[in-house]
Amino acid sequence: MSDLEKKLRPIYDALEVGNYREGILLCTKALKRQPDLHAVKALKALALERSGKMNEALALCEEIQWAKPTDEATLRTLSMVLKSAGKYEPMIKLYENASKAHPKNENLATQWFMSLARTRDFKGQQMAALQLHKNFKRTNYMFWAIMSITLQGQNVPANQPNVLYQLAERMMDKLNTEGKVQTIEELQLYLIILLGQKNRHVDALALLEGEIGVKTKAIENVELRHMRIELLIKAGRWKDARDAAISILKDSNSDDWRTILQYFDTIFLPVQDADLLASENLAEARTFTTELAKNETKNPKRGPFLAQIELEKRAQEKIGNNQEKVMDLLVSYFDIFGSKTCCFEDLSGYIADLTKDGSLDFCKRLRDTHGEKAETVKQICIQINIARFEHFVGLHTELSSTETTNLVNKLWKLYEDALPFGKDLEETERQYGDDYAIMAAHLLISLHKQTKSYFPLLTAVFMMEHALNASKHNYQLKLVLIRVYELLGAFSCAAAIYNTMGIKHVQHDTMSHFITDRAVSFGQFNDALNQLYGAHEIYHSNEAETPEMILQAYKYSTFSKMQEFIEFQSRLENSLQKMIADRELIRLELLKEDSVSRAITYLKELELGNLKYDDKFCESRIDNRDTSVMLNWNAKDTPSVEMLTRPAAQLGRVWMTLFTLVPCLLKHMAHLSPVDAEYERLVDTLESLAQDEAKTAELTGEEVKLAKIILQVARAYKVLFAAITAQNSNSASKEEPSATAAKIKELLTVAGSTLKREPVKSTGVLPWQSLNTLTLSVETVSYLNVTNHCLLELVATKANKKATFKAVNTVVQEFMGQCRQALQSVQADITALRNIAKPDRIRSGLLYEISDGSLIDFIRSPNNQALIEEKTLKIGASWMNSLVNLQQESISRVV
Amino acid sequence: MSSLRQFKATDLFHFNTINLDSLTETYNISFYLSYLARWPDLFSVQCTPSETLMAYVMGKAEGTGTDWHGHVTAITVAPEYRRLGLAEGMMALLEKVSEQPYDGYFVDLFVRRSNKVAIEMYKRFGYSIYRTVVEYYSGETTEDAFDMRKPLKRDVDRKSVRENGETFLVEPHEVVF
Repeated sequence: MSDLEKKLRPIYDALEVGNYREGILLCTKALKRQPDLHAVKALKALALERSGKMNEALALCEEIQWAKPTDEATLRTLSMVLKSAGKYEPMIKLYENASKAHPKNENLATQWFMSLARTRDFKGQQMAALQLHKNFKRTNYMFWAIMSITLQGQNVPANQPNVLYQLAERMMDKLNTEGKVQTIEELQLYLIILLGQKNRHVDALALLEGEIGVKTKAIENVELRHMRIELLIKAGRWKDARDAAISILKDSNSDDWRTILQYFDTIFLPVQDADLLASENLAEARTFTTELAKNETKNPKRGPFLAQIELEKRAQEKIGNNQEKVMDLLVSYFDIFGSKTCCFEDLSGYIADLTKDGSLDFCKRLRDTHGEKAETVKQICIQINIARFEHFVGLHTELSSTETTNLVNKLWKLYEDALPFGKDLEETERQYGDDYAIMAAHLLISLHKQTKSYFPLLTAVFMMEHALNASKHNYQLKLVLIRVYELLGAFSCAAAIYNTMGIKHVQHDTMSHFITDRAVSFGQFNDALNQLYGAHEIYHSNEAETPEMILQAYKYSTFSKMQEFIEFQSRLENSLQKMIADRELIRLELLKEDSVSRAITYLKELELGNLKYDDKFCESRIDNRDTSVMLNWNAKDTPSVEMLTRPAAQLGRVWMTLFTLVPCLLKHMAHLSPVDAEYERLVDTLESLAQDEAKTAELTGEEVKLAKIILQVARAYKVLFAAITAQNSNSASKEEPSATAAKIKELLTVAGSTLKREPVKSTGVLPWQSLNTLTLSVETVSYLNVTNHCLLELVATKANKKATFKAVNTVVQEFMGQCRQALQSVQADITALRNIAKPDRIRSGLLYEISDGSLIDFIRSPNNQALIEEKTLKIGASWMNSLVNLQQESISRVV
Repeated sequence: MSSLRQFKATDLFHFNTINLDSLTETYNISFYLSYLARWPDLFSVQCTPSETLMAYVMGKAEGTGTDWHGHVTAITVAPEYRRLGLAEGMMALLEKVSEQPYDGYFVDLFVRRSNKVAIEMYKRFGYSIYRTVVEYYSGETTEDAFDMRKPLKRDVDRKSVRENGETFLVEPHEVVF
């Protein structure tokens, strides 16, 4: 053991068992004797970081960086600390320096490459890889260099000559001539380079079919096999393409849809539509698909049967007069697969292409065959599929409310009738009739849209909760519940369901919108914050984990995944949902600061770098939100259930811009900064947003009002700032103080009248809309408290002669009175609304109204009364949460 | 009617139909990407024509000498798409790839002793119980796993098949390759 190792050992031991205090002490002791021991210093930084003292750790890191250490141990430890702080850049220089100091150390040079790969510095990677290849002669490093060049070239526009790809190709050619392209991944890199250039498919094909293709058995790889057929089609080698597709479909996977589509390309692409009827191709395809279908005897796969439908549908599109054949195939497909859940998804696209009469006829034929028989599980599944199609073709729309109610009753009865069949199902499985219940909920949601009554939504809640008791894990029931609870203003109930869904990791990006969209509006700020911070984890994970995975791909030379990993990383980095969550977090954090001075401190500390709103930035956000996961049987081109259950317009770029502009303007005012070009730009952007109807359609009425009010006060700030500056410098353009006051008064009067609103009506329920109105009032005033303070401060601290602006102060004071009034009306509303949320009032009021004269069997059934009461009280409790919190928030904001 | 293709990293944005089901665990980014970075051809997915993800399988190649084999780490089918033979198609592909390019001796997988449906299904696919891993699954209740194996061509002596494998007990630490 060397001297250094002896010194380090006890420190390592302490860190290994998580004793960071001990670790720090040992380091400090060692450093006292020998202050320039970088390895120890780095370990101290690590111990500090692990015990949560990031700033001290980073300060120490900086000290080490200055000394430019070159030993592996120090660099490795340093890199660990910096990585956890999300700082990748400093390691690049350090490793570069170290590998130049020790040119024979392969590991240091590799680390240099990897540090560049972590930051996606493709050009730097190229240099490091070439250096590695020069010093250590491994071919692998040459492929790293080629990959790095390819990544640099991938953003060159398609119409421009791509010199980088040309360079990569030359390097690849050379390696190939030397027989050094040997693995399937190396071949894939070669193909990426060729296919990234215009019109090189023939060369790519030659490669794939040539020596390396044979050597690597490329054709046995699922992706390359697919690519080969694609290239054959592009090259017009129809017969080869068709033979290849046929052999896959016949010998290995008759269900493989993308190969079936390629097969059809070889049938239809070579023939003009006019010649199709007489062509051999059509006849051949008919024979082939029929034969494929015939081979499906035991446990038939769907592919061949769907291929027949696809073929005849295309023939119909191209030559017509084929409807009957399509219809017969659709019906016989149902005969085989009608009991499979996916049958609806398989056929709905084709049904949508039929004429209205045709689609009705399809449903009629199913009914004629299957009647309403539901004596076995299989029959139940068939019945549900028929119901889905009937819903899809419009048999459930344009009904009167009585007809809808009858249908809901019927579907619920079918649901209940199916329950006994599932009594032995595992707890993790779904009941056979769950989709009947969900369809009933869909109808109730439509009924709510149509009548504006909230009773259908309450009914849907009870039904879904009831069904959830029998299918504890059916996430489709949960998704409907979350949305309906939100429409009903019951955030706690929605969150309780959401929290049972086990949504984790990458799902935070795709699914969290279900719970975080406009979560502010429910007035439960802390719960909303928790949801948002919880979901935000994924973006930190992406920063910490994905770069390491890119390095793994280099380590294993998995070139085919490199672009994919980078795209994955960038989709999370530039996620629209991330940006929306960031903005919502600022709103909530600001709302949490109930004193003006704390709000101003928060605003002053807010980092501007994260508050981008330019077009380029907004447009480059990527929407990863999953809106298709929710079941939907509504007709094609009509709003989906996901859309129908949104409490307000989907959050998007306009919303994002608004809630970027607001904190930016407030921050500017909080600093009492001069009115500069950036301020003007903020005001102009807000003005164009507030006045553009296409844009405001993406916002709620309250949000538009907020935009208009902030616009007025932002202008007032500008007027006042200019007036003070002119007065101070005694410039010729200075105006009469009374004129300034009048201008400001005019602006604030508009703001004040926009702030006024009708009282929130008490209708027995407290839907999202009502809570949104109240919350936005509180939010708007808390912003105005800040801006009013800033206007007064502007006079108090910037004007040389404060007395000159006395009239302005009076105007602002008056406006503050209006703000107080706005809060008072919130309080008055809440006092009235609290009545409806009280348990005894719910029992005597809402519950009575729910059951009084209800035509819904479920509501009338004595068996369900306990559940109805329990859930209604829970909804009431959630309303009460919101109201109590909003009450406090509005009281604490009176200034 | 499903496209069987390699899993892409960006498929993680679209796997909710499968992963929202309570029996399918969602892991962190590194878990999925580390498989993709190393065994891209052993991680496959079945999609509908409209690219909805229906099912996926992830696997790896591991072991030394005659233990060199393909391992099924996870296989899962969304509730809507069960009983369509999707698992069979994915397993067949994984077996094929384990044979070429990996040249393994067998494919193996672990399954909960209580999961009778799955055990029967794997038997139908040609797997048999090779050994019992005692208390392999920990959590609220511990449970044994069956290590089920199916020989590939290279296993000419069929060493990965064992009579009454169920009674051959091993500890969890003994099954780490």
